[in-house]
Amino acid sequence: MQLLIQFSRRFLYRHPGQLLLALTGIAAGVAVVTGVALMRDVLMQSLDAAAEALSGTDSMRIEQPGGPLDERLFAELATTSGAPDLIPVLRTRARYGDQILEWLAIDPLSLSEGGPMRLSGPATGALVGGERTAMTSQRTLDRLGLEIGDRITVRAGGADIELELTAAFEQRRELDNRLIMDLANAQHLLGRQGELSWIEAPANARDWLEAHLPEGLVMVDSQQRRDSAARLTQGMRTNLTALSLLGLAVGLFVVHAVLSFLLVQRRRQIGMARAIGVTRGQLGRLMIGETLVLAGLGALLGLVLGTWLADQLVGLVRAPAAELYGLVTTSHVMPTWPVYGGIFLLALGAATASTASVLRAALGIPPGLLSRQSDGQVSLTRPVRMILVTLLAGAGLVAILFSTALAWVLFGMFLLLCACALLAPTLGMALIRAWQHFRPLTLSGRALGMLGAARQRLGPALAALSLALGLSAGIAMMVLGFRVAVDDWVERLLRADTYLTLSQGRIGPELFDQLAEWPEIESLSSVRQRDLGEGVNLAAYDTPEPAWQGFEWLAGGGESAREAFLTGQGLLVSEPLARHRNLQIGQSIDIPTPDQTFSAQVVGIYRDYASDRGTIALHNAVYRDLFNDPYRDSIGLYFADDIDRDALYQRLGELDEAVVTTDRHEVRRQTLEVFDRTFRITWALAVLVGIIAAIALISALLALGLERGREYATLRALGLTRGGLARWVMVQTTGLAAAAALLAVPISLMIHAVLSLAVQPRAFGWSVGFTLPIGPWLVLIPLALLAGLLAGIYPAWKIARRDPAGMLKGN
Amino acid sequence: MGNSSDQVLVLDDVSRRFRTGSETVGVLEGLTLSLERGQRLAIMGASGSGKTTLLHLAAGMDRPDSGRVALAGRDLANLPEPDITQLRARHVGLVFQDFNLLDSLSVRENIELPLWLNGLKIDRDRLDALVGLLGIERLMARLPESLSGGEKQRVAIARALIHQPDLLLADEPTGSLDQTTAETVLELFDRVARETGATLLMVTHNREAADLCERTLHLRHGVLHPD
Repeated sequence: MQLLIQFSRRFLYRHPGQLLLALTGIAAGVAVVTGVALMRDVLMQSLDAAAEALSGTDSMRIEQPGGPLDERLFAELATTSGAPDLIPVLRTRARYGDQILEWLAIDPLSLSEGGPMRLSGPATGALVGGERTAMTSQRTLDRLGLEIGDRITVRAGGADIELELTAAFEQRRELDNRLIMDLANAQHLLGRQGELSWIEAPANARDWLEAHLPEGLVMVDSQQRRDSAARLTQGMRTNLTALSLLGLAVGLFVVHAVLSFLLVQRRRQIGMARAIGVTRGQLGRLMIGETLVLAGLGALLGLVLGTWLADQLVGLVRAPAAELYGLVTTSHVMPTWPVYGGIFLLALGAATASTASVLRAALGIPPGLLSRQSDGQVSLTRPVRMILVTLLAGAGLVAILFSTALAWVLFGMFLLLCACALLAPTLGMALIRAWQHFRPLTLSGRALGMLGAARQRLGPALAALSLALGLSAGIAMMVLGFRVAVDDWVERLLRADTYLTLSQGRIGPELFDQLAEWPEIESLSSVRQRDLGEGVNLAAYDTPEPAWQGFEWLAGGGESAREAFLTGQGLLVSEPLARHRNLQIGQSIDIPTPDQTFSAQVVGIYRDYASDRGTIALHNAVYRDLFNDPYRDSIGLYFADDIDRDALYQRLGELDEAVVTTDRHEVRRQTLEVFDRTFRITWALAVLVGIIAAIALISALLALGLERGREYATLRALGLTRGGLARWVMVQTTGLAAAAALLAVPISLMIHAVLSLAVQPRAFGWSVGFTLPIGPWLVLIPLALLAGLLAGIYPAWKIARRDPAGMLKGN
Repeated sequence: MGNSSDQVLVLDDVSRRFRTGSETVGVLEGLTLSLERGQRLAIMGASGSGKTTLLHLAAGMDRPDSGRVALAGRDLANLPEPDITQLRARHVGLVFQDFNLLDSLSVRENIELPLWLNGLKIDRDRLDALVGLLGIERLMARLPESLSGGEKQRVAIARALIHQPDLLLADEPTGSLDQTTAETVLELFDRVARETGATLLMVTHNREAADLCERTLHLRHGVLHPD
């Protein structure tokens, strides 16, 4: 066995380029999976990070469902005999430039001395030192380019608030992107006197709390918070995980292509080894060992790269996580050994599985084989392949069409992609043969004809390429189609001429009433939003007729629904909520309010892309009574005809210096900006998959060049010039890329259809109309041709400059 | 040496050395030979004596370290590489020991390859006559991998002669064949070469193959010796 290992080692050393490609392929795939897995953990941990910072990993929160806690409760509990250590917390989100930070206000004096917060005397002093003093982590200061002593203006609760950074926490990763402040100061600055978001308590205080908490309050432990974060981000995480696994699959195609090429290179040596007595078992162990070593090294490299990549992905996901789910993530990932170990084992297992056919082919080499030709290579016969394709495609379609679970739909899509991968080599070669048939006597026709004979070698690369290109284009089509849907939705929804908010706080009822009196304004709409927990939003609307027309009804709606809505007998629900809770028209739903539970029937289900957890809408007058909240977040102004708009804007500006008006075009632009930010990570992953595909292409082309070296030398000997041979090779690379690009077109269409029609409704709850944005194809095809051309330059140059005599002699 | 216009190939004081590690090995040392139109010359020598190197130099696939090589009246030293390639395509036919057929092309396409490379039209009559002579009519649509060694070499001979080259260079044409097949192929090779009037330079260590030629030289230590 020692000799066999030596044989293997020396052979691999003689093919460093191939070895490097295999390592790169697997490392790139593992890096994408690692990056997404670590980033996913950041999302999961983000709801808990602050709690861990305050009271350790094992804590619970006392919350008021559907609203803030009354601060007096804390005072009552804290002064009750036997009370555990309790920490009152007020939480909100603050925007600093384009960064979203979590603003946590606590009572520094309530932090236990031995607790994880470990506030030293000076730190406590820094926190309570002034009305606007705040702390954050040193890492956050560094990332934002700030220093202790800087004054910053953040936007929170609809107001611009100036804060002074007086101290920084060292080595507190869980406090990244968090501003810590004294509770009383924060309540004052935010205009939320007497309010708390929750009370943090140690987990072992459950019995005491159950005995002393008033009715209507709930206790949420850290596991429940993690579950909640998991549910909130499930759609996003599942999508990204699926994408990353597809990236790994494409990477494994590279490994498969490289290992099967290396096998062809040493068929003769293996045949000789078998002839002199090497058993199949020894050969099998050797080959598996090679794969494991290769996959292990590649996976280690991938884990390192993936950890770096994860930090970059967290940067991309930070804004959408905050905007869509209200989650403020840390800036850096916190890798754990179980994550690394799991991915490492996954890489080893997947690499071994992907090279099973290579192993089978190696074991099938008869003793004494002298030929290097591909006879005896294991491949599926056409009928077997077609049966497999039909089975995979059928099973995939069944999973997609008949399952309501997202995981099954993604699995179904994976099966469809497997069917495509099996078909791609046959169809790709048929395309190449068709071109050859079209121009049989030309250089390009003959060069493409030569490709046809290398199907075994090029099959995996063609499959990998077309899948990767199809995946990139399909995702792009889905995103663009979705963008069109969101744009249409915003266009329909935004009916008011302008929208008014206050830069300092909420809009009081007086301003609304005052505006309603203005003759230049025909009608007013408004919205007041409230978090009902689990990401579900409560929206209280004033809906004059034109605003009501902005709803796109998927069920219900109409005049009777409006009447029920206005009188509080009917509620509207967004499509995502209706899907998640399987709500129908006429069904009753409960809304927890501070005093009671309000119930009403669903009278309309409307299209909504604002929240994937869903929204319950009720009339503002009803909301005011239920929640005793007279405020509004924004007002929509519908202008009367033939007014002097400039004069009206001037008058609005004179109302209050805090008044901000934003016309509907600007709101639309901002909405699409948020949309684009949300999908930046999807684009990034699509590009990464594309990069892995490029590695697959280069790997295939280099393998082709090396494997066909003797044929190229013969052509040169027979009189094909260097330029002719270079063109020959580049025609082949471009032809291969073109075939892959053409195959990618129907694959991308399928991926677009599955993502838009099946994945989106199940992951996020909203339906997206099927559109056909062909832009990605217009980019994909020229880009693939260009990539093919560029990828051919090096092999063409290398092959053409080689001396034919040397190539013929050296075989 | 005869009239230069009749000289298809001239090697004049040609030397070729190869570097292996720190050592330089002289394979050909001051070698001189010329081949006139219609002549058939065999060069014999042991393995590693430089026969194939000599053939590569003659075809312009390799350049000498010193001396002059002239092919079809053109001094290769003064020609750029693309011109040498075109000269080889037009004036040289090559038969290799390992056949070197292109696996991805059919027998017909392999044979037609030199015509395409020279931009010549296919002369159906000549093609049919040549393949008839070599007995490979029924193989035309097949791929090389499905042929026997003898069949492959017959296809290679047809490919080498289809464009009526001035010089046929054969490198151990029976080296990969069993004795019976080798005899058949040699017989065909001889017949076709005579009928086409091709000038032949064959390197071999097979005495029977060498006997096809009018003249035989021996290559020993990089120098040619008479038979």
